[in-house]
Amino acid sequence: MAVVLRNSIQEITLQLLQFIHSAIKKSASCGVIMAPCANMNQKTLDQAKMLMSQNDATQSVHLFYDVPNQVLCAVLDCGTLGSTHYASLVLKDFLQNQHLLQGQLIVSSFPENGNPTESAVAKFILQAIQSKGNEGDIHFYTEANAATSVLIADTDDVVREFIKIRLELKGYRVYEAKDGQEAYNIFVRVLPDLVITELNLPIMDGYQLIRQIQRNDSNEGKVIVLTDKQLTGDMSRAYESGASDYVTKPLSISELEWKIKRLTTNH
Amino acid sequence: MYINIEVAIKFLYVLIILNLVFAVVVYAMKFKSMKRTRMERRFEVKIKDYFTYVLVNIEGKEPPHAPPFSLNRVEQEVMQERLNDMIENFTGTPRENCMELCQRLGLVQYHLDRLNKGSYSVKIDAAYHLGCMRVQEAVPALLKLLQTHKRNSSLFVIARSIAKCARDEQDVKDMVEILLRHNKGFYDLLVDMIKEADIDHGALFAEFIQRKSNEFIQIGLCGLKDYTQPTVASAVYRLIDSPDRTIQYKAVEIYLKSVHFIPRNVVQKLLQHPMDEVRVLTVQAIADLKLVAYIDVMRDALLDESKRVSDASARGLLLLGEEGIAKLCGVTAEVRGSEQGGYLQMLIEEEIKSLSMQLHDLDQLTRYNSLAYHYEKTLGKNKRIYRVV
Repeated sequence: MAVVLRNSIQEITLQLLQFIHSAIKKSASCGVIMAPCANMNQKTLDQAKMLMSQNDATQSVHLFYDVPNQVLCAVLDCGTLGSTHYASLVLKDFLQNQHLLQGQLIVSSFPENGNPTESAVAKFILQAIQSKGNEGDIHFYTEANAATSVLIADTDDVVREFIKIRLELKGYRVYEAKDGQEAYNIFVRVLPDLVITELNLPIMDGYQLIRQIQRNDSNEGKVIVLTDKQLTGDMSRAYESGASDYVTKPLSISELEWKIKRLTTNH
Repeated sequence: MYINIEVAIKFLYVLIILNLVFAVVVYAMKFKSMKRTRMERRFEVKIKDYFTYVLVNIEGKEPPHAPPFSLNRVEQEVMQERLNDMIENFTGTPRENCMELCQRLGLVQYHLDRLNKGSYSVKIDAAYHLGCMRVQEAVPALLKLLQTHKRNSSLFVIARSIAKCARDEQDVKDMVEILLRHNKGFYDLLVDMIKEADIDHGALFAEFIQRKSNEFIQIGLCGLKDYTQPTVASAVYRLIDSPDRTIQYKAVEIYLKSVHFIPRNVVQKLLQHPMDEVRVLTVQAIADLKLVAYIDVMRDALLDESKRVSDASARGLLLLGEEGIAKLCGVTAEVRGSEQGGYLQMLIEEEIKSLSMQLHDLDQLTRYNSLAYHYEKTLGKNKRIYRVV
């Protein structure tokens, strides 16, 4: 007689897999939110479920709490990444108000973020468990390995944050810098595959940064300029300094993503 | 000596009371501002995840949902600032989705009400925010506000907002007409504002230069100066003969920047222009376009009465290959001994010196050899110049 030993992670993985597969069977996509929480009882689970359903009546939500790992799992039928992300905002607000949240909320949507294999789901759960003790932010689970690294140098928080989020979702490892000197220091330390820089930067401007990068790494230092300077003179100067491409603000993210893809395809 | 001590004491009391009142007011203002900053910071933390959600879903078919919690006034203002930044930074669907989100959050209606009913400062603030959110239905009220506004910096806040919200070219034209009534030459600023409008700027500027009013022509020319299409050249050509010198100069500048070839009759016409700035521009354009066929014209320009034209022509000939260099050295030899001859010789010698430092570049090496050869042949009989191979 074979004896099967399962640890607590395997238990919850299998349980979650069952939920995910049945949700995908019903509605083609399934959103999952994992959150490390303390002391969840049936009453609080019902309250959370009611709140989430109230915010989006079109979605059916299944909530269960894994006691050994102290993790709350929310499975949303028909949950795209966008709707699951929005549901996680509601859940986070509730958990924080009840002082139950103990770490980060990890959000994913299957098959949008990858196939729901046993190993992928186990990795997803582990990421939530390991976030225990961290600040209660919302993070995404992506299966892709961050093989390509990108450094963004821009003074504008919105632009930096936007590009960072978009690229991380596509599986890039992203570093940020607010000025030219900080960008150069990061460049020397991590040697990213691509640098996206504004030309108006404090301490060391974009042109100086590009030249320093070219001096340091003339073959591999690929730089995309992302700036609001639209004159041909600025463009020529940037190309002369060693820029590989030039994108003007206000930015079109799809244009930038294509250019990043083109420059990093060889990696 | 009579001293009214009682009056003095009363006066001191009044001063002390006034001091106390002012101190209380200042501290109250400071406390209010600190409280607001604290609230804003707390909200920034609270809203961080919501903005991540907005940024992730900003390109979706549906605009992002409003936050799942209610917002007070301060929080709404923080939200407005962030959304304004996003609208300014993005184009296409992300911008439209942010605008739609502003509508869903009630920000559009809130500022429209403020624009119609608020005090002067409230109206200006509302105009700024409506501009950021590109609220088209605000244009009539904004135009009305602009019409009655006196000339100060707020005038441009309203004008820029109209450009951003413009429904069509007519709104922009109305805005420009109202601003031009103030009779100040802020054409570059106007062009910068017009470029914020979601219209075909090139077509509008081209239309402006067809008008009779010099002010509209100036705006059109300022707007067209960054355009390099050949169609622009034909549009501005007529203005080369304008009676206004500024317009003439700007028209020539744009014409020469946007053509790939300059007909001989135009070259001759421009080189006979009374403004030496125009002659300089023409000579520079011939050199930039490498129009070797006009070396003879450049040769004549070398002897122009204006030193600036002569200098530009000499520098231009240096860029026109062996033939240009030979012509420059030849003319310099012809006028040797005159002031002009001395100047041209000095210029050639400086160029030889400068090129001798850049011999790693093949183009510069070729130019150096050509210049050194012709210089030696025509002018440098007493000096030994080495050619580099």
